[in-house]
Amino acid sequence: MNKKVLIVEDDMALFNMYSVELKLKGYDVLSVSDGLQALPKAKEYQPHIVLLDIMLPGMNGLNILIELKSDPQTAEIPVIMLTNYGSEDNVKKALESGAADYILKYKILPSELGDKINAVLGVSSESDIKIAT
Amino acid sequence: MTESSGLGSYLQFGIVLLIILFAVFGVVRFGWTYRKIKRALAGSLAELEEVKASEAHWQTLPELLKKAVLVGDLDQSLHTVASYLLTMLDASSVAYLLKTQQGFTFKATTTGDITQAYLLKTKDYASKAYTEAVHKEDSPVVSDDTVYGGQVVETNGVSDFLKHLCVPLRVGETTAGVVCVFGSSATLDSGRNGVFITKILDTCGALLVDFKAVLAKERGKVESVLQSMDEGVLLVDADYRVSVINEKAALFLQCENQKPVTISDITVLLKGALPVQETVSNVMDSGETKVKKRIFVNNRYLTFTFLPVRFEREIIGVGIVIRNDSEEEQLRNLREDFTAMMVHELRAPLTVIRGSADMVLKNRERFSQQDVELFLNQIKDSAWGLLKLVSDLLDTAKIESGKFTVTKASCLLNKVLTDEVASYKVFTESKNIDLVLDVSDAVVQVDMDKEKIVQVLNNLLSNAVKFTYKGEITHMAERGFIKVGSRLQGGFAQVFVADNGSGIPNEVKKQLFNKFVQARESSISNESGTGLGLVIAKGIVEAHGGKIWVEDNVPKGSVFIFTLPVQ
Repeated sequence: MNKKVLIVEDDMALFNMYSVELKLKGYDVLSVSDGLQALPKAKEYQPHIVLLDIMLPGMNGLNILIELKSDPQTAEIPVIMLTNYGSEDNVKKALESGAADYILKYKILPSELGDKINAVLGVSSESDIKIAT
Repeated sequence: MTESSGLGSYLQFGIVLLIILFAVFGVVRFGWTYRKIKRALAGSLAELEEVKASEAHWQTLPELLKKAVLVGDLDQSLHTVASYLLTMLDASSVAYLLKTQQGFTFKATTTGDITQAYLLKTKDYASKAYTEAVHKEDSPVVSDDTVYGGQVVETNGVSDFLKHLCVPLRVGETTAGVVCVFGSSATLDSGRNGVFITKILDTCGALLVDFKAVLAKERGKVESVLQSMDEGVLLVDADYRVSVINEKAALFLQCENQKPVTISDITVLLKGALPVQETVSNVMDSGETKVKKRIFVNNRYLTFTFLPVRFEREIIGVGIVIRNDSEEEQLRNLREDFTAMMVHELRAPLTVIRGSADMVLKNRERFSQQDVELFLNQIKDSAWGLLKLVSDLLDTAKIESGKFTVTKASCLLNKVLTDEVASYKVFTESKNIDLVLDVSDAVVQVDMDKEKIVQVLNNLLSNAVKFTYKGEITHMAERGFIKVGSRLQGGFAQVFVADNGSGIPNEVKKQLFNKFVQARESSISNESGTGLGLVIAKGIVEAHGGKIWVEDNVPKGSVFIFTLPVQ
């Protein structure tokens, strides 16, 4: 069974990039563009990992992170912050709140995202993930 | 005849003798009187010289007293007077008894060591003199005594005096104390000395009254300056007591009702935000000014400057000046937020351009034509977004520097509005928003830069759609509604764009056309966008000689209105 990734992102162009790339890498991709929908969606679909933006309509990504980590149904799901806001405060707050990683979008190419996810999920190589055909 | 001539001879002899006797007596008497006159003259001359000398002193005395009195301390003034009297009069000591807040203080200036008995006797006389001067029966209780010029010794000191002279010191209506001279000179208690000392003390008292008046006046001036200052000012004395606090300081420390008495009270008021006592003590010891910047207290950013307060060379306290840097801090934060927001707005399209191009390059073989088109379109749109952002930044910079210009031509404003609404119709319908046009026939030709006014309308309409759409999500039952229209009012054409969206809080309304506001608001609302659109809209409208503002729409939402002058 494919690993499920929930992408919480309101920028359609960025979402297209990440979702196409991750689908190519064999993930099932779920999407949410409104911050308020992130927690219900995570609870409902139980993804293996969440990619979470910070600047979102409805609710700030850092607050979503706290909600995810304090809800027993979602607390164990690893969360990677994927944002263009790189302030030290945000990074510190996110890591303290339980984020598995903090990635700046402009620093990585979509093709590098898979490795980041694998590292968090403890998957040694791409071969562990079923390649979508 | 012989007898008679003999008697006549006796008479003659007697007369001659008498004359001789008178003559001798006269000479003796003359000599005695002469000496007496000479002595008297000499005495008078000496006295005259003495008076002259004392007059010379008398002339310098007012200056001396002024200096003493200007210290502002009666005790210090009397000490100067006592030292002066001791040099002027043949006395073994000059002492004064002074009423203080604590009781009575007794200070004696002597020509050398004195015995305890001598000291007790002088205190006793001074106390009695004070009691007489104030017409009271109880003697004053002397709380402390000090001897200058010598020491109090068991033996080998002046042990007694024969004469004394005490004169009360009156300052205004009150008897502040007495000044006494003690010694054994016969003339010590002469009336002349009494007059002399009285004159000095009267001058001293009058000067003190004047000085107190001047001091009160100066204090009043300083007080009004302190109270009108924008900075908070506190003075802490060497005993860590708060001797002065102005209204602003009380406001900053939020202690208008209960002013701090000691430095510990200030520490409590600052809730540990600043080590006040440590800093004051540091300044007191080092004499160096210390500045503590951006201390967050009671929702304000305050800068504390600790200054040593000196009298002559000694540090007698620390002045604390508190400046409110909140506005500056707020502006600084707004600038930082604006920069962060702008960086984000630039990074997002660049991330898309770089990522999309990389994906097309790496997956050429896997991608369908549709995928390739998707990513190429993303690149195109992001590049366009970037160009628009750069134009906005340029427009803003021009507006800020006053170099923004418009090219006006006569236009039918209502037609511009009609076309604009028509072009937005498809977009609003896709979002379930009703877009309505409501133009007034009174509005006809307007001199304007059509392209720029369309830019303003685009901005207002896209904002209205954004917030109405958001409003629709929050209030699912309601349908979005936007009305664009015109009307003529007071020589101006008014254009309005009203929506039934989420509305704008009053505090935001005031600053909505400020460059940095969107940055701050977006961090709260998580809405993206630079907010430069409204700044530019304002610049465009003002370049036309119009105004732009926002009001609450009834029953809900906002209405943006701008005016353009009509020929």
